[in-house]
Amino acid sequence: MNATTASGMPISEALTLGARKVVLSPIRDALENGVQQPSLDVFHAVHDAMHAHPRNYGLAALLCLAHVDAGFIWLNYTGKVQKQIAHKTFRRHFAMAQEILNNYNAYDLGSSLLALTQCAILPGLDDPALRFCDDYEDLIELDPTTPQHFLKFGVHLLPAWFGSYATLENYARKLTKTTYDFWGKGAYTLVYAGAIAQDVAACERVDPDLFLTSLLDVMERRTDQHAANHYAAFLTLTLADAPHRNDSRASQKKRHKISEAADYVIDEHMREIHPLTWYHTAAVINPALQTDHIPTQKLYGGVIAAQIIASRRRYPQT
Amino acid sequence: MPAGGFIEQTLGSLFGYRNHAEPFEILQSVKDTLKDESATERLLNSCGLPITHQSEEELEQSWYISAVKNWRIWPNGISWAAKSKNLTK
Repeated sequence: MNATTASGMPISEALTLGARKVVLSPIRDALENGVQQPSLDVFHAVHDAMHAHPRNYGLAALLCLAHVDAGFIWLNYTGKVQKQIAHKTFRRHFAMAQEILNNYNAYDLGSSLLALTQCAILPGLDDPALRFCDDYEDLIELDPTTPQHFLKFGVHLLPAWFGSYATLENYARKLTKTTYDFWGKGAYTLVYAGAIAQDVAACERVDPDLFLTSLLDVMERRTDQHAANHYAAFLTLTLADAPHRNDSRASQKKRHKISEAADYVIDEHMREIHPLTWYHTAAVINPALQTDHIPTQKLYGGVIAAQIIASRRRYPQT
Repeated sequence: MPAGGFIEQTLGSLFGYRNHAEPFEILQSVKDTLKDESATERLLNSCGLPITHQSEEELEQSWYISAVKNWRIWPNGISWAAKSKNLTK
């Protein structure tokens, strides 16, 4: 079992965050100030360090993830720089990351960090649809106990990314069997929770009974408060009705049926409110709430969670 | 009118069924709720659960940042492929 933070992030990935921030801040600052050729000195320093220690795959993974981050920074600042330059730079960063990663075999080294890095590079590849299922299956085989891998796989299985609703359903069921020893039937919920959070139309194909059984298996195995808050927010907010949702009647019924499990999660598992978890779920559904100010995010998240919990207690439990 | 229809919503409220649109209404009114400080305080106290700010939550943002900012399907439904296409124009 690989080590994770209390909120489910692999420790190996968490350890890369500080260094990635240092590498990326000159790029971020330069782009925000309209400079189209940011200094890459820190990037070069890490490249030099990697060449000096070619067997250190952790350093290589860190560098690849920094390239992925840098690519996304360029893509997100397209309003201030020329679109073509931004897109070419995005591609170049991802190509560089893949070139570095090609020197290491995640499976031979038994490194889930390298495997998750490969999955992170997928959006910048020319034809990720050909390989993404294999990449995620490798990652999950190397690290079957980390729920984030399932959630991210669910996202990439969506038709807007590299998959389709049929593939999503197939892999959610397949992983239920291959990871049964670790999650019971929990993989079904883990994969679908990632997908539905991004695209509620994925409910169309979901089997609500299997989802609910699977959710019970997840909650039995993840007894931490982060999981309780994550699934409470998912069930009450992500699956709620909203004016911009025009899914089919069948899909609505499935959403409503699954969301009834919120009472179970809130009453049986929630012992404290984690406001940021609620905020980030809420901000996806109502973009008017989006802010970069973390204290405000916490305030919004806390109030939303408290109101949701209070509102559910007004109704008799069936 | 929220999804679900007027009759269903009205009957639902009469018979104690869940109003599935209510969470979205809460999201829409959160800024107004916060304007009334005493009501907000009462609400936070009355829900019965303490609010915690674990350091892991801050850490977890890296996943959310990638999900919300980089990995998301943009709110207007533009897919990744479409966005990439636009950028190459």
